[in-house]
Amino acid sequence: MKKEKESKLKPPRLAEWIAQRLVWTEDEISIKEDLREEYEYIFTINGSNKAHFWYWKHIFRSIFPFLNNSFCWSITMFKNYLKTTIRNFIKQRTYTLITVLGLSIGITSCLLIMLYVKQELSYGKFHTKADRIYRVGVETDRPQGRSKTAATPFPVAPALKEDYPDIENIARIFFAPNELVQYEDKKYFEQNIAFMDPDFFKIFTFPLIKGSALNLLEDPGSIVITSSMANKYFADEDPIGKVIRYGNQFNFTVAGIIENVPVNSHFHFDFAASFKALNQDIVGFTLDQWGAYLDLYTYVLMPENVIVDEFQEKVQPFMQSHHDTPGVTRELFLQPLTSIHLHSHVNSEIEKNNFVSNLVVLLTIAFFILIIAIINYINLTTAHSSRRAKEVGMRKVLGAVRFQLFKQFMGESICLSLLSMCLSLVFIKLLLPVFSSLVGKPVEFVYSENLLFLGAIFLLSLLVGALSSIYPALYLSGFQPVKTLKGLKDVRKSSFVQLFFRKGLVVAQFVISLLLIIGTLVISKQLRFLTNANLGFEKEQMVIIPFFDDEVNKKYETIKNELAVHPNVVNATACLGAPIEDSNEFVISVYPDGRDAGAKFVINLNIIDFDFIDNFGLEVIAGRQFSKEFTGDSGKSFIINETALKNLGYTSPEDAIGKKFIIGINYMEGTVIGVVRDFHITSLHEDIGPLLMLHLPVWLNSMIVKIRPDDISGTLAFLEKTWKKFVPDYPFSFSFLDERIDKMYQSEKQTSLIIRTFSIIAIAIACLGLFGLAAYTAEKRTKEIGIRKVLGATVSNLIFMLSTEFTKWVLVANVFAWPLAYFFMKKWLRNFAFQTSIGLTPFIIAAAIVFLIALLTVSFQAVKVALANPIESIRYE
Amino acid sequence: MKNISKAEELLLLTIWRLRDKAYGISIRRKILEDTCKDYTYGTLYDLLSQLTRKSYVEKIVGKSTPEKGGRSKTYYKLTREGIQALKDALEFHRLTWKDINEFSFEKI
Repeated sequence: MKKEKESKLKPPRLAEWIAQRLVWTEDEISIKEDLREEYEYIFTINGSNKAHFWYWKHIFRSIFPFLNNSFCWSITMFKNYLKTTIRNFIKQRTYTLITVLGLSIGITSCLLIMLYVKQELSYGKFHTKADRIYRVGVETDRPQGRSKTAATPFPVAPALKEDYPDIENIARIFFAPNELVQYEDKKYFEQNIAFMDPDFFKIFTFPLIKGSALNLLEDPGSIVITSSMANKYFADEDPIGKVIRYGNQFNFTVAGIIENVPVNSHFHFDFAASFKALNQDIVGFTLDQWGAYLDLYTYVLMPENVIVDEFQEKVQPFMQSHHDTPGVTRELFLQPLTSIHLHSHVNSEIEKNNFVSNLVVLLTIAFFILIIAIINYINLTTAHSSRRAKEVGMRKVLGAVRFQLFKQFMGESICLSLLSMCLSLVFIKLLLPVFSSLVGKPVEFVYSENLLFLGAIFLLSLLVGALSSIYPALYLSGFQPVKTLKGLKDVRKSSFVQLFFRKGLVVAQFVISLLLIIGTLVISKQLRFLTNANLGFEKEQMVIIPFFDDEVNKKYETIKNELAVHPNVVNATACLGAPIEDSNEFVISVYPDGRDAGAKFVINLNIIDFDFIDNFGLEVIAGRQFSKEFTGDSGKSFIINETALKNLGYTSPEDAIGKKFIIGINYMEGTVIGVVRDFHITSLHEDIGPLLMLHLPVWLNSMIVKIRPDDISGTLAFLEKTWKKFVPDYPFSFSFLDERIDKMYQSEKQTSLIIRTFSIIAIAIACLGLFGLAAYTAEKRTKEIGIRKVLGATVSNLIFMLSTEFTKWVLVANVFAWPLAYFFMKKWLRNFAFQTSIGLTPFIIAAAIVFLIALLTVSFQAVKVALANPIESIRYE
Repeated sequence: MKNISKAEELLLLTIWRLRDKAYGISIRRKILEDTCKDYTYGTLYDLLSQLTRKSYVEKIVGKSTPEKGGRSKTYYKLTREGIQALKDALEFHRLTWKDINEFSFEKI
């Protein structure tokens, strides 16, 4: 009877539950009791309905004050948490340092990579009209296959403007060959000289520092220079109106100074001369040729609201209508400005573009490092949890619920990760120059300009803090208060799943480390293979001296003879482009069946001097090489390589000798006089292409001097002296052939260096975590070890016992890492036409490295425990 | 002299009036009777915790009573600071209202 009455008197459950959810202060119980008492009172007087109604109304009206109150109390608790957090940090200095350092190294590496990726993604976006600018390229369809080129013939731009009036604007930029620039006594060999249409500055955004934007470059004699060039040539003077000399024929008046072209532009220039000054002397052709593809690039500015795909279709017949050659179809294609840097990989790119895949690799590494750092944090925190056990117990006894403790530990690690973030912001500033040299281009980071990025960093570190603390917070807040306060060591029995999870984390760390090491090793193996590969010609001690100048060309023979006198000069020769040179690719058409039948295919061209073949150690497999004794050799005789032989359809080298065909330079006919064995003419990314060599002295533009390895600096000084003696006006610059060849693999080297650096970082962080975990396991087994020792175990026995557990994990990690690494590296190697075999060595070396590092880290702890006095160990706990 | 809000003043006064019988329900009921203000428990406890934090009142855990299932009530009692605050409030009232009675407003 009494029971029934009581149950009737109970206030609505849902309302009570809501009240309880809303209040989490110490008054919670008082409020509940008071409400219930009042409810009962109203119930006895007015009956259940009124009481119910009153209760609900009351709860409803209380929502805001409840929340307000609770919030006040959370602040008070927050202060308490903060205090304990700071005390804990100070109390466990080494531990905090290790975690913060681990996290901040992780965040720093991740952020640096993100900065770089962000910069790579931002190419071209600084132009205010970036979304409407397109680069025009030409796609050519020949019987041998299709090819796309970014360069366009000169007449394309004016014709486009005429044919398609809906184009808003169009402009060309021509990158002139390296040339001598002179102002008064200042004379430099400049590489970034461009000629551009006046409208170029209307399409692109290059802020003008000095000079008038009106009619810029309209005057054929005007030039715009960048601010760094202004400093270089004019220092304190005002450059506007000054006359600089270009080459030895042209004078330009400085009309404006622009800011330096930003890093994230897909082309760079220091000088922008008026396009109207361009003529046959500079270009080497007349400007109306539809067949000449030089370093000329055409950009169009589309009006707003134009669908580019439709326009693209409209311009397709354009090339055919202006330049129709039988058997060849040409089409224009448009590339959005902002996508060029990462997505355009056509022929004649202005600068080396990046690949999205590279960025993906980098981001993956960043992600890996972050994961390692998080795993690290999880392991360290759980390992150190026993130190917090008493606190957890005490808090629970005082009434903390699990969720509160969970929040507390969450908050703590978020504090830690924010601390790490602050540290990494400092690290970034310090490491940016190092990182820039690592990726091979300046990476910039200005705090004030990257507010959004800073926000992202903040969110990222919050996320890292939260991610890394979920497990430890769950783990710690689950301690049983009685056990912890009794001082039991094993405050919480780890279930199988938990152990599995933690070990899984360690294995994951090892897998990532192994992947990175194997990657590094395979990449350097491939690079070694590339640099040591037999190229088919000699590359050691070859000095290349470029001369793009008629004056020098005339004196070439004299200089050559003079040089040959020196005892340390082996020989000297000249050619149009030294072997393996990306920038000097000369390609011409071949007409084996006569001019009217059309071009059969394109062939690489090199112009060589008589002794080129001897000096480079090329092997003539049939016929003979160019010789002074045969007067008809100049321009009339061809030497081809084996690939060309195959492409031309000759059955044997001997068969080719004496055959005649026409090539695309003035439809010149020549006779094959020799066949050389294939040698590499481009980088090993590509197969060996067909090659044709000609003897045409006027086209020679690089002198190649082979010197002896002794007293190289003396020999170089001699070369320069001789050079100055004959051509004092032309600057002497030189490079070594092998160094140039090495440079071809710059991007691979860069990738390899980046991956190597970050794998070292990853491994270092992983080691920190392992160290913490080893300490934890060793500590947990202190008593066991003491007893084992008393019973007669030796120190080495114990070390072995403690280490085997970790070695097991390393082995498991290998099982996962090897196939993954093999898969990824196979994929990467596909970038090269000539690949090294992956082999077993990188895998074994990587496994050994990880194994050794892990063993060292673990045994450091193991030795410490094993050497401890057993009496103390047993007394422990 | 630290000013307290009107609500705080009301609460302090009520607690003082109730002497040693001041706990949640009695405080609320007393306020309702005296001023017709229907405070919710939310507001009430919010104010009480504020006053506690400012140490104008202190909590006293009373004896457990059988009717409440063995649970003890939490009583509130003014501290010395609380009484001082009331005195200050009274002084403040005297100062601000000294020459004013209900007829004063009608003269204007």
